[in-house]
Amino acid sequence: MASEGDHWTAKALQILSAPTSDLTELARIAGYDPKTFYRGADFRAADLTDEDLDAFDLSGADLSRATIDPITATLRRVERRQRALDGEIPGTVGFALMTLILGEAQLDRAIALGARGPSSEAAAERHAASLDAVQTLLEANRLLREQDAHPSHHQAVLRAGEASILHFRYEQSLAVDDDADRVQRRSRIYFLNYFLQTARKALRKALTEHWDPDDPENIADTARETAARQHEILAEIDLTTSRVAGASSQRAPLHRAIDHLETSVSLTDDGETADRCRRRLLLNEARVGLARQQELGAMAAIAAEALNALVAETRRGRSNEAGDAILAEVILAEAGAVLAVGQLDANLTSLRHGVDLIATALAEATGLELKEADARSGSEEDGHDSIGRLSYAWRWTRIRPTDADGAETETRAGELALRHAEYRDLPKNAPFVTRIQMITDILRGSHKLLDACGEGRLAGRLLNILDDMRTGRAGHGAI
Amino acid sequence: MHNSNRARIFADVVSVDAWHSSFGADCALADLHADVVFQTARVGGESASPVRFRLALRRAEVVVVIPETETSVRVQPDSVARDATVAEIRETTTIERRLDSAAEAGGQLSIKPDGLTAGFDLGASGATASSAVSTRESSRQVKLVMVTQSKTPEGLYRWTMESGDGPHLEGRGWDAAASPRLKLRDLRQDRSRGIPPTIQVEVRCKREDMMITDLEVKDSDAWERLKRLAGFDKRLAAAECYIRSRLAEEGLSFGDLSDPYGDVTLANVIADAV
Repeated sequence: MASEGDHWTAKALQILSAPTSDLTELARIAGYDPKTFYRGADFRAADLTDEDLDAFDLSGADLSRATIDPITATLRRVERRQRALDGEIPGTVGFALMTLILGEAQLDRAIALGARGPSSEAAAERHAASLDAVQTLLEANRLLREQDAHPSHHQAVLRAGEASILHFRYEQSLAVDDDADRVQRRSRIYFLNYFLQTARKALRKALTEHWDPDDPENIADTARETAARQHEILAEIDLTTSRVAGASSQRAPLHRAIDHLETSVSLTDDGETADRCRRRLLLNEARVGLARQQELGAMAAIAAEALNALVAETRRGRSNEAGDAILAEVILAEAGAVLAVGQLDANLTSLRHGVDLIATALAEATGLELKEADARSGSEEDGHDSIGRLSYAWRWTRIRPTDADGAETETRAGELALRHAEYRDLPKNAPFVTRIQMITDILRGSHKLLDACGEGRLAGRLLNILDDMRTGRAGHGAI
Repeated sequence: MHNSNRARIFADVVSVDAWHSSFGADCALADLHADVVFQTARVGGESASPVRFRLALRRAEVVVVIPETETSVRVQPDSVARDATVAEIRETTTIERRLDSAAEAGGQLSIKPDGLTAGFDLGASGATASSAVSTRESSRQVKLVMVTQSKTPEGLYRWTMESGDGPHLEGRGWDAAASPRLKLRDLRQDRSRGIPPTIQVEVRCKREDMMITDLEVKDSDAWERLKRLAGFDKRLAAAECYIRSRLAEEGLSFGDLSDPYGDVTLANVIADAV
């Protein structure tokens, strides 16, 4: 605490060490009017999503790198007005818990619907269920927060975060076809960003209640796992935020996601658990995202190597049921990283390797009898004739459909196989743009196939790769 | 904070020297010269200060102030330096791009601004049997300080100075000896008697124009710990605002911090007659 005899800059140290980062509080500590205090301030990459920016005169302030959520700012204004008119009516603990249970039930239903067939009716149903879950869980979160940090609050926040991500994935999957209504999609995704940011804020608050970043060892085992999961969800929210913003997004969410995932991995028990594997997978995926934003093929290559090592580890742990479940996802993540290297460095070998990895991941997920197919197709595979193509296509029709409409799945698999064969047949001097176009076709076909087979998580991951390929640019290597 | 401290800090940011030729019995006109040099000040070096930082200016105004009591002098309007005479440098950038033919080799790109090389190499470990090098060179005039002449609301002549290359002001806006700011006309009937008029040159800025950079706590262990805490960027912004407010408070012309247009006086000198 600065006293009278201290140097005049002692107050600056007091502000830097303040137990709060609330802008209004900090201005008060400084001894100035918060309204005018931040004029001309450089906020760097500060996260201002928790701040009511309307309360400050920010003329001349640099907010270009700061994280601001305009929707939250607008809604805050509406909330303030409502409070002034009606006053606030806090819910009881019982009512809050009931809301939480209802929200969790809706979330479980949305997850279950995700595993059902590809019909548009089911898709619409799960879409509605996930939206309901998001809204109910956020409401539960709000009610529980008012009950002086009830123990169930963490649970509500965690599930609200999960529901928001799930809902985003559904929104994203609806827009897989280029002819989808772009304006409607954009407005939906923009609104969804509000849910994500709300969940993020609530999660961050929950984290600080039992987690001291300065003393990571001082944490109970159960709290440790909860904290690891919370960091993972926070990272997923940041990754999703980065995707919502698109190619022009700031790098701050990706950097935050990487920080969260590094913490999450460090908090997870050693050994080849599915949790640890998934977190390492996400961490490298975030690094690929950053590599794409910075157009650095070398950075993507490092992530690809790490994912390759993770694939090998997961294969070794296949006897373990958890490892088996996640193997296809890890391979697909490696495919995404390798394709990023290919696209950024205009490296044809990497592109080809990426396409092969997609095939491997699909085979892993859908039960393609690869060995048998290899033996049957044999030497024709190298020849660029119709027999070779058909033979290759045949391999893909061997996928065992798990949905009710087996014939449709088979047709999709056949089409996809032809796309693969066409890519393999491309002459060496084929334009780079054509190659990228063909790979996006393969990815789109693979997504439809995985969706038809009820592989929701894998389909979502594949969709991210597709988005990256479509919006990505070839880097310096392509010059 | 004592005024002497503030004066010392501001003196490190801007130094002003002003003079005018003497009015004589047969000379009613005098050239007013002002040498204004901007630099970045390092503040907090004294042991009592727990933090240190750099202070620079985004923008500043040089104002010629003729006190209201000085009715015997006025500015010759057609003599005011209106052109933006600026210090310029020529910046040359050379871009060299090499592409190796081997597919596995990475690209190499190097950008050399004025002899300084920023290299960027991506694992170019492959064979370099055949390679093509293309070089592109471009150059441009860079104005170090941009100067715009105008009048203050009170009708005083001023020169607003902004950095032409970089975030803050550095160096001079004009050659003081070669480019007088204006001519003063002595209106006294008998210039051989009485006290010659006094002219002031002030350097002013807005509070927002003061840039606090590289703020850090001197205790390096504490500083590393503080940087890791969540919300650090917000605290840093607040600490910078505090310093800016304290400095501005001492130099405010009108003493009202909430006035967004309140000018901070950084320097005030009386032009010497030479």
